[in-house]
Amino acid sequence: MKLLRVNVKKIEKVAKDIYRLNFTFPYIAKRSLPGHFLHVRIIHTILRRPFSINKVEGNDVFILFKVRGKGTHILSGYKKGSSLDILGPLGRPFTIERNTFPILVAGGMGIAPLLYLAQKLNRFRKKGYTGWLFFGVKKKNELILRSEFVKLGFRIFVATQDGSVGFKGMVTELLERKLKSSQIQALPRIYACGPKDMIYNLGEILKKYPSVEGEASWEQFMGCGLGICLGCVIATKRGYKRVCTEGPVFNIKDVF
Amino acid sequence: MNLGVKIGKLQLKYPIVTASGTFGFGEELSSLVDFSSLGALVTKTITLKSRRGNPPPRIREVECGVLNSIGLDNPGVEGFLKNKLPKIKKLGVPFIVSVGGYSPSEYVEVVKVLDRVKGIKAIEINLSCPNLRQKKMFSQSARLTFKITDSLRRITKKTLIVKLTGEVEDIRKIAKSAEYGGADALSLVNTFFAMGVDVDTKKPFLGRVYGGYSGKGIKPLSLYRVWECAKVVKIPIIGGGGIDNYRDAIEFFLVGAKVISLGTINLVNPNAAKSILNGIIKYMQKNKIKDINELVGGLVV
Repeated sequence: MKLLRVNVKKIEKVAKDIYRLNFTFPYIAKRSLPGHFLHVRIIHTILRRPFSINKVEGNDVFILFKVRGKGTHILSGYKKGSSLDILGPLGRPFTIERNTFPILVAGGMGIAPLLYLAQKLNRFRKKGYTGWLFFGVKKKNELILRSEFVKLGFRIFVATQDGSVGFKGMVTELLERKLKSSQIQALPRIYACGPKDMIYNLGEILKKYPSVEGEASWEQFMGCGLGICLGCVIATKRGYKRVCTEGPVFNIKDVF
Repeated sequence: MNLGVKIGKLQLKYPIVTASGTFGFGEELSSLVDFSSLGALVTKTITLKSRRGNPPPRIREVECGVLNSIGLDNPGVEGFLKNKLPKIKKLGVPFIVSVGGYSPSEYVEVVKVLDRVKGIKAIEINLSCPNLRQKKMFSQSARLTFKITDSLRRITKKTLIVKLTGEVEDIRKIAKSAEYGGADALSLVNTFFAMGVDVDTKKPFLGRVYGGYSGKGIKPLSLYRVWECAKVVKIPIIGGGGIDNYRDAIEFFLVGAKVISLGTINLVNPNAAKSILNGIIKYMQKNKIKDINELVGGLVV
């Protein structure tokens, strides 16, 4: 983990209010693992904002974000060459178990860290699909990055709240149906990121499949990112845990 | 040029300390931070027993600062001595142990334990945590401020710093009570009671509804209180609240702080002390000030 200054190489609009930004920095590109996050200082704000690593290509590191508040609004206005003050990589990453069948579950912007995970998982692909991606969104314009997952060997199942594309309803409902009706060769392993309700539902599904493990990346308002201010805790079965250092990736069974 | 100051028996190389709760126990930052620009670090507040703290969310940025309701989440005095103290000692920087409590007797019990530990030279008594069950803080009462300070002075010869709240009718009375009780120094001020609301969900920003407000927004409030206290006490004052650059620091020296305390800025840049110290040195050179003590209380009115 280091404090560093980088320049924005490119920032592009991926969809309405959704942006992807990248910069070149070999240290982060080489040291970071899927699930790690970068703590970014944005001009005219006070605290840093955490962003999971979306993708690494060579020495280029990408973050994906949706404009939701002041910080992301200002960040969306950054240009090529803008200076970024970054602390990272931080946090506990996903645990990759090689001999399992990966099932990624994304809710909305929860897609962000799962692409980097898909990149790493793709290296272990033997034959057939690398894994499955269940992608739940409110509206179809939020269905982003799908072609990149397809290139990495993922079969995608889509759920939209309004039913405009794919399954109408919750992504976890779609997942449960598929688990019941499909034959999976290896033991599935769930990797998720999304709203708290979605992860709670995954926890309920996992209770029905005791042999299946699941990890999810959590979000919380954060202070230092280094484990010292104790600001970003979530309630787990073993008490409050810091998202910045004991997470952001937690075993779902440890929380729900 | 002299930048050294003395707080009780504690000699500080530089007049900069970290505010309790914004720097952990220091050791967590050892791979990232150059401690050589710090006079001392102040630890996270410890209590007699370990505490789990308040429900999340516990921290949130607002317009001109940060709201927090951590709630003294800490390993307790035994956990501190066993797991944290050995690591702090290795950092090679002086440290001040912050102590909190739910009752006057809890302070006594914790300080009794710390008094027996050789490596500990200074203790900060946190009489101003806004994130406890009771809504009243000890330093909102001149009587309790005196009582607790006096009872601790009787059991330890170590340097005692008393940290006060700014939320009182007349802070000078509280400051004098702490001095009269035997405090070696005052630390001014802790966070201010505050809250924020998300209008979309109609929920408060903090899980506990309200908490403490820190950062730039409280700087003028804190400056005024340091100035008020500096006029009536003889013991040194550690002043802080929203300092994130050297000019902020100089303001605090001018109104009478002998040492400045960095808080919220540590959460963003744990190396902030270094650039602030450099700024102070340049200011002193430019203004031909040979000793930091000449600057203290130099407000021209």
